[in-house]
Amino acid sequence: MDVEIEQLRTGDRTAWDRAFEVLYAISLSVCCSTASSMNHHEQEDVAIEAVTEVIDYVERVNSFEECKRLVVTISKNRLLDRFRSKATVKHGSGQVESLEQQEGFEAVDAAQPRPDALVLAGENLMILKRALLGVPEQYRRVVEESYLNGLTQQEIADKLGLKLGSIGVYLDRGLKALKQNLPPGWP
Amino acid sequence: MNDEEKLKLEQELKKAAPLLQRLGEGNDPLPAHVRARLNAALDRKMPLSNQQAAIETKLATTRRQDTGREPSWLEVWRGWIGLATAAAAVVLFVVLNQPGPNLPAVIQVAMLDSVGAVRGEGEKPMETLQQQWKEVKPQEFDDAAKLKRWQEEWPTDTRQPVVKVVYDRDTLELRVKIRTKTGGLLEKSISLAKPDDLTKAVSEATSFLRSNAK
Repeated sequence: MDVEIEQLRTGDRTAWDRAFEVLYAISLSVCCSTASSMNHHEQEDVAIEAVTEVIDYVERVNSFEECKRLVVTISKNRLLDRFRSKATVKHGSGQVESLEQQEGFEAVDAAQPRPDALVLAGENLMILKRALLGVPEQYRRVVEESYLNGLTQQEIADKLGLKLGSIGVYLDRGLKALKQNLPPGWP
Repeated sequence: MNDEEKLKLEQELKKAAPLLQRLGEGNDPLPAHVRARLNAALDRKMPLSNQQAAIETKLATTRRQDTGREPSWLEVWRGWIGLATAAAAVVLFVVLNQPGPNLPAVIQVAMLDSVGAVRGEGEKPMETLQQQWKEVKPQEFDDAAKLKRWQEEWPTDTRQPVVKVVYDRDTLELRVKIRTKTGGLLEKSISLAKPDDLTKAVSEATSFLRSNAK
C-alpha cells in the first residue's frame, strides 16, 4: 500500500484514496487505544478531522511515512482538545479537571503505545481489512459473522441460510484464503 | 496453514474485530460516509479545477514548445496525405450531388371511373389520355381507395422527375402531381365543365408539365 508523497501533492485522487484508508485506520487505532470509552461517533469525528488536517501538511512533509506519524500526533491533540473542552463545560470557567482524572482518557505513560506502534497497528488493521475483502464472499461472510460479530455456528447457519455442517468448512476455507491474502509474516 | 497459524490468525481477527467492524462492511475498506467526508475535505482543500488547470497549463506549454520547432518529414507527409484526403472527399461530394443530364420525366396516367359500364358509349376518356401520352398505358380504377394508394406510391429507383396524371371521371377533374428531381411536389387540378372538355384539360396539363416537370 505504497503512497507517493508527490502524487498526494498533485492531488491525485487515487493516491489520496489509498492514503485516506491508511491514515484513517491509524487515527482510529489511536482513538480507540487512547480514549477507549469515548463515543464511537466522536472517535470517528476525531479520526476524520485528523486525516483532513494532514491534507494541509502534504506540501511540508517529505514522505508518506511522515504523514502517518503526523496523523497520530494530530489525533492525540484532537482528543485532548475534546476532553479539555468537555472539562471546561463541566466545571465552569477556571476549573479544569486534570486529564488523568477524567474518565475514559488513558494517561500518557509507559504503558501507552508509542507513535510508531500506533502507526503499525493502524497499518496492520488496514492490511487485514483489505485481505478480508479479498476472501470470496460466501466464505468471508461466515468468517465475519464468526470472528467479528461473535455468532455461533448455529446462528450463522440460521442467519445465512446455510447447513450447520457447512459452516466449519466455510470457516476453514475463509481463513485459508485470508492467510493467502496477507503478506508473509503478518502481523 | 497449520493449526498454530490458524490459531494465531483467529486471535488476530478477534483482537482486531472491534476496529474492523468500524471500517464498514461493503467492498470499500472505508465506510461510505467517512470516504465522502474525506473526499469533500480534499475537494475543498485541493479543488480538482486547479489540478485540471495545472494539467492544461502543462499541455499548453508542450504545445507551445512543439510549434517552435521545425516539422519532421513524417509530419509533412501526414499533412499532405490529410490535404489530399480532404480534397478527394470534396470532389466526391460534388460529383455525387451533380444534377445530371435533363432526363425526361416518368409519367404515370390513371383514371377513376366507379360507374363504369353503366355510362353511355359517348366519350372515350381512356383513348384521349392514351393519345396524349402514347408511351404510357393508362390504368383504370373503379375504387377510390385503390387510386389513392396508387397516387401515393412513388418510384424509388429513379432520379428523374415523376408525374402522376389522374382523370377523375366521377368528379370531372384532371389532377396532375409532379415530384421534381429535388424531391419537391407540385400539383395542379383542372376542373372540367363537361366530359367533352377533357382534350382541352389534357393540353392544359401538358403545358403545366412542360414548364414544371424538370
